[in-house]
Amino acid sequence: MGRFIVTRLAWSAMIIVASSILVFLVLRVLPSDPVLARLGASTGVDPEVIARLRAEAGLDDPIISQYLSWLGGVLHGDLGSSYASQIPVAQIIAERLPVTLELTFLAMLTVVLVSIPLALAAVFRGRSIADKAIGFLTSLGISVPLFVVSLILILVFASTLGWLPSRGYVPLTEDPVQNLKLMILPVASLAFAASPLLIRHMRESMSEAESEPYVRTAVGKGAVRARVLLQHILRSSLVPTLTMLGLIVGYTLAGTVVAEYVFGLPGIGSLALEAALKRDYAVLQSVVILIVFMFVITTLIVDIVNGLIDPRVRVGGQRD
Amino acid sequence: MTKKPAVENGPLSKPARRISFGIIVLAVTALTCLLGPLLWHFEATQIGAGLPFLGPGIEHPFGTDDLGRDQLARLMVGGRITVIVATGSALISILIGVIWGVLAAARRGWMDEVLMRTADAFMAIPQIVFALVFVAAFGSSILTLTFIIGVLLAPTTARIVRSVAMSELSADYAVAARACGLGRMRVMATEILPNLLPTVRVQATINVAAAIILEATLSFIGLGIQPPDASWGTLLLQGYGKFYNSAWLVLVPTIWIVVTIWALTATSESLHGRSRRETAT
Amino acid sequence: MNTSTSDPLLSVRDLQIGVPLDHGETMAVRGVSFDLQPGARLGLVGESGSGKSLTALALMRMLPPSVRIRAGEVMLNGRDLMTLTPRQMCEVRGSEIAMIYQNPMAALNPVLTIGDQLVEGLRIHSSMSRSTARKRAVELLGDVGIPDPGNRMESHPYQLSGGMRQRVVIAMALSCEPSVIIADEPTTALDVTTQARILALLRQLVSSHGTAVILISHDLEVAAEFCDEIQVMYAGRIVERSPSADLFANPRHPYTKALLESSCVLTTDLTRPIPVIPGQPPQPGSFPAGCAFQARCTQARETCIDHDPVLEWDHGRAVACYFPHLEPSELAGSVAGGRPLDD
Repeated sequence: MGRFIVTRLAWSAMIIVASSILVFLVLRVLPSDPVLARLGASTGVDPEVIARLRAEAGLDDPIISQYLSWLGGVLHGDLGSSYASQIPVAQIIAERLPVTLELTFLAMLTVVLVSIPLALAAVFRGRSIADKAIGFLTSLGISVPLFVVSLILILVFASTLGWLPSRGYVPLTEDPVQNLKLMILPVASLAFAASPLLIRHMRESMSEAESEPYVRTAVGKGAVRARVLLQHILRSSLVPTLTMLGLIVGYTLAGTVVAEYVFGLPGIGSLALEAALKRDYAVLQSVVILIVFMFVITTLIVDIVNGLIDPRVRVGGQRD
Repeated sequence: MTKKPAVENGPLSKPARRISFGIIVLAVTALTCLLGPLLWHFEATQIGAGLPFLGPGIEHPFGTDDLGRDQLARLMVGGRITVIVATGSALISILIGVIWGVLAAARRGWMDEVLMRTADAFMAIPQIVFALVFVAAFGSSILTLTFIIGVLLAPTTARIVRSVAMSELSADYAVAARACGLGRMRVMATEILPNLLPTVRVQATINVAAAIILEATLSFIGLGIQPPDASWGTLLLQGYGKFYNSAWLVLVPTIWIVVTIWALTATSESLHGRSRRETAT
Repeated sequence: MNTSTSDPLLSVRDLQIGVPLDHGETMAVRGVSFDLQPGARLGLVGESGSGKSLTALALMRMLPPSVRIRAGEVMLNGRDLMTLTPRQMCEVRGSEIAMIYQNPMAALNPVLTIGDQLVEGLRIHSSMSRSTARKRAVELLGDVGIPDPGNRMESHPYQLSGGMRQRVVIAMALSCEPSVIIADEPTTALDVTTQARILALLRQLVSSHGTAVILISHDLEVAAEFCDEIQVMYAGRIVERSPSADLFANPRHPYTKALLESSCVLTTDLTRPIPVIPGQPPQPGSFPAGCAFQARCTQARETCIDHDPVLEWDHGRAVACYFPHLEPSELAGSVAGGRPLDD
């Protein structure tokens, strides 16, 4: 088990580094120029000024040394400064990260609480009305993009019914009630967008498990449907379900970009969007790597838990 | 005679006929968007074609927006862009993905490792986030967007293609071909590629749906199609701003987007079921 | 009907099972009836498409959802299993009638330990505490010949060989002392040596527990080894039933005869061509009218094409054929197989 964990840790570190190189490359090897973007113009600027600013930002150095100096900075906690505002990136992120963490946590909690009962209800009696209805709703749910869900929720609950505010954020420490009230719609939209994916995946893996011989053995022993479902079918679908859950965390993290923008939450998702719009590469780079980091850590935890649950994962062990 | 619960009478259920419905919807949508603007008498950019904020009516089946532009025309033109970007990027993703996956499966060894680790690095970055990076770097013209989305969807395709190609490689017919002396690449090209078609079909459908979602999302948050062009995502963004004047400006693009994606999802699901049955003996 | 001294333990009457076709449904089991005495060992032999596995699953009411029982009665311990609610049937499964499966590799849940799976079976049908159940499970593992049963309880199935897994399956089947065990091709997936050992184990266990067994097999030899009586199925019907020795010595149905002739034993004369039954057994959906075996029978006549023979009993043997093979010694004073039905 220990060896398994170490292997997975090493692999995760490698992926994070590889992704950071990828992002770095895309942002540096590009036609448009961050310095120009910062100056807010594309022509008519004194070439000497541009050259000086570029040298200052280290943009003339070879890519590798740029990357290494950036990496060195990261390891020291120095992520550079925003091109736009000159505020240290690390500071900006530190201010906005808690919002996204709260949003993602609540969203994932909702996804799990909603999806698992629905998936179980669908599979409980094969080909029941519940199964067909849930299948239909899931298919429909997958077809509605996150931003559309957000829009619909706002237009129905905020604009038309007026039950909930449509935008804004209040820190949890300041006013928990208002904080949660403002979180309801964003969390709901993320959860509605992600749950169909989990439900569909669980339905599929549970109906596959249904036709496994050991399920027949359990029925042959006289186990009632509920026991067969929970002890055998769900148990063996647990590993793929957890894996999918890990993927959905990534999906939700990406979703925060949209959700925070629509609902006016100052998290790192909206930070990434702002940075992209302003071509503020220093910020964008760091935020993206941070998101990758969170995603990869989640996948790592999922893999380790899977290894604990199912001995075959440890033994078979390979990534594919 | 009492009815026994275990003994059943009555007819058996018929298999669902969902796939044709989905394809019909898709065909109608695509045709409307591609040919419609030529046939429809209102232009999408025609300001003042009607009074502003009209609801659906005979003159303007989907109403008008704040500048009096006919919504049906805007939807069709917007749909055109969406269709072009979505199918273009799906094609690119399939092309790249298949080559990527097949190469990895055929070559094995270090090339497989490198190719797949690269794919892992790509997939560790959630799609929209990576899209942000690409758009920040390369801008968002229609062509650029198509390429960006195509590249974003390629790694997942590559993984799936690789895994199918690898299992096909170890199937009896491929082993037999190798035993006759054919090289791995040759076997891949002539024997295995045709057997990848069912998988590619399903993946292509999924990718078109994913591309539409990506493009619409990007356009909605302002990083996608830029004015004066408008895709459905842009229309939704503009409609959202004018919701209080006319809810139709939001409703109509929403319905079109959802129905199109749903038709694609339903098609991909039934294609998936069919390909499963095809491969099962 | 078969005369016997005591009431049968299990009594199947006119079981009919339908399987789905592309359009509609066809009958795969067409009126199977038989009795099983307490402690008896009955073999159910047939090729693919004969309906033997479906019959077995029907007795447990464990058919796949698309396969439906269209008619029939299964009396076990005085109750018709077909009239039970699903809940009641759950109580019956495992405690009154249990099953041993063909593929031991897949029959056990890979994620749970052996011990957990045995304990589960025990606690479903009794109010045993967990610790009592665990002790009992260790005993059961010992009974089926698993070495070091105490520690084996914590193993997972993938750590056991095929033969060991099948022993565990047998232990699970016996754990609640059912009156009938259905063994569906229990040794097909095992190598020959293990086959013999498992069958010997099974024979010893069922005779000490007094359990009746229905053994499903496509292999006549295996059935003959193990069973007192054998039923041969063809195209959804029982075509012959005999005590094993009689079946082998004097097969009556042309199908049984052809089966026996086409199998090789050590004493087969290999200088001559081995007789083969021409053609393939018909699959559900393409059963012919009249006798199902007509196309492959060497002595099929017009009667066979027009009319369907019925199972007819005679001195403890039954056969469904208008022209069964009878040894000269049997001809005198015996009743020939079913007469053609009057139109």
